[in-house]
Amino acid sequence: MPVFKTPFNGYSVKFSPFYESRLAVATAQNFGILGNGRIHVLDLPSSTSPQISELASFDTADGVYDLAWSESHDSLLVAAIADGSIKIYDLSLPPTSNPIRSFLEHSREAHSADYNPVRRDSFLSASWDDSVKLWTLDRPTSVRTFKEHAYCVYSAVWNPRHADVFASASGDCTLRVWDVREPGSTMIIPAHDFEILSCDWNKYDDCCIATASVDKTIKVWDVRSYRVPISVLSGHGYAVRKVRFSPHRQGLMVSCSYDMTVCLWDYMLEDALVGRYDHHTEFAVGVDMSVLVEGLLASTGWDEFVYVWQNGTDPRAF
Amino acid sequence: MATQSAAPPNPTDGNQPNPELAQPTNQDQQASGAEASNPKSTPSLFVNSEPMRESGAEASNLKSTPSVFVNSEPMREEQVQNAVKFLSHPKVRGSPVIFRRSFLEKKGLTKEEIDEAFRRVPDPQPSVQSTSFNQDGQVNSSSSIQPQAPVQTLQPAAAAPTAAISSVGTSTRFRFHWSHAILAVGLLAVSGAGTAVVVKNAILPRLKSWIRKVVSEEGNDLAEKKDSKPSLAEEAAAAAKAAAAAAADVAKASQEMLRSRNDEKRFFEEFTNLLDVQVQEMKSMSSAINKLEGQTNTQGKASFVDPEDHRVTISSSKQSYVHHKADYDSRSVRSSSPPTSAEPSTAPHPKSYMDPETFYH
Repeated sequence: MPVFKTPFNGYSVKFSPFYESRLAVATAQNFGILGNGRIHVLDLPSSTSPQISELASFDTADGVYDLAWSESHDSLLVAAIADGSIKIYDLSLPPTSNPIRSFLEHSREAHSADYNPVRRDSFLSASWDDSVKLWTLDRPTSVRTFKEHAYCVYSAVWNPRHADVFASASGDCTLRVWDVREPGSTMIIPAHDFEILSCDWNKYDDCCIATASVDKTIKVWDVRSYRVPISVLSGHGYAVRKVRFSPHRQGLMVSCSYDMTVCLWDYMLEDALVGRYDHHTEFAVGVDMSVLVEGLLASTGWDEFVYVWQNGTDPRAF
Repeated sequence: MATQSAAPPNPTDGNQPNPELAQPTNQDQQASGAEASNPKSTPSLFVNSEPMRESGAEASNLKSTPSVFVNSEPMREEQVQNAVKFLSHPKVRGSPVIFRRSFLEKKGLTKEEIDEAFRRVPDPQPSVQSTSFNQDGQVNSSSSIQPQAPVQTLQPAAAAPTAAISSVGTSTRFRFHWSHAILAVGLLAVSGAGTAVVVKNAILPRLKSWIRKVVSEEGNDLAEKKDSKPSLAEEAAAAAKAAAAAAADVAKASQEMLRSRNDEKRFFEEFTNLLDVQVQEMKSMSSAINKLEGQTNTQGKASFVDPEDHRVTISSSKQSYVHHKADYDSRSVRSSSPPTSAEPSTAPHPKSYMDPETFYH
């Protein structure tokens, strides 16, 4: 199972939607508190190359907290930087001409970036300045700013079916569902009693959202009846940092937590925890499931390792 | 993402999960083509639906749920009442609007309920309200008039200025903090200067006069002081003197004890020395007799040796006596343990008594 060692502490990992053996890793120096950052674009081992190799890497002046692959161009990356800027990188261009764009509008750190999978021309950035911004590649400034949260917004995720709907998870303990055509949020769900660090939509049920919180639980909600969650998944020992739904099976989701484990859940089953991997030796902060290869998982953590493995196998095995 | 974009744009599929999403790529193109052709129909999903869908069932479905992502519940009056009570609390009145909103949101109120509660509670912060309205651009009247504009258009306008105002409020609070700090420092400096002045003017003269009084009293009223009730200090001094006298007495007594002990020891030593001498003489005499008896030929040597021996023993015993006296003197200075010093000093003495030859080297 390929393992890549990054020089800085990992923050986020994303599979490319175009190439099944490509993934990008966002890293930041000194655990993201202070220092530089780097984006690595890795190629998984295949018949031609037996080792995981680095296709490109981009250095940034501040830590990179998150990145998103473009859905329209196979070589574009959107990076959320700790100085509040959103930078666009093009792999097909040499590193000297990268980043091709840099949008600096957030007044605090940009914590997440997500590309619209339906419209494929716009992306969101969520920041610690309590706002979510909508951008397109051709405009030099943001298209919309959504400022309603009372605290840091940790994640903003597009709905995989509806082009204009997205959800944002914030440190003010609420999950908000927005519609781009509406001036404000359309739904406010007080999902947890503590900060919500991540949210994700179900790829098969467009009304189903999962939220991951500091209270060590993951709650799965149906937005049509949002007073009570569909299920509450407990099992992590510390705050859950990220949650992702599987693109291949409806109930399956993967989460990573500060208890250094990556857990697999199926909320439709009675016993929801279906898998647990504790390969990391530090906080596991980034996890992703590949869309093109069923069961392929990638995770990264503050222990500066990126693991890519097939579900059911040992991530550290070679 | 190949699989996600393969989702057909039919809105019914939005309500029922579509299991056949492992699609080949040709359907991908189909979906994207369909999507491009009807962007106008998808907005209808979220607004009051127009029957642009083929099936009537879909239309009714859409009408009943115009948007899945909007609160379709009616306003809960009890929640609004609770919110009004919360907002009317005096402590809540002092907090920024954004915190009140986020508290109500955390309690599970919908936007409409929160806005209704805000509408019902008269806002006591006219500055906040008027600035928000001015920025709104919709209502330019005084603060008491609540806007009749639709709820949703108020929200972002109010949210942005309230956020801005809260930030300005916090920043002014920060500035107040700084001025507060400056004021505090100034107050401290003034108070310090004041106390210094007071000390200079009032306390120091008082001190000086008290000293003078003491001196004068000492000079004039010595006798009175003796006769009158002695002060605490004098009592303490007297007590100290008595203690010192007692200590001196104790010291004297111990010294006398030591001296007597020393004298005793000296007498004992002299006695033992005399005994020693006697023993030596007897020994020498016996050896002389033996020699006289045994060796009539070597008379001169034996008689020559013996007085020397005798002298040497006497001098060595004197030396030992001096040695031990020195020990005694050194030990008498340390008055802490006179009895213990006696034993070690006597211990070598019997040795010397037993073995006079040890002092010969």
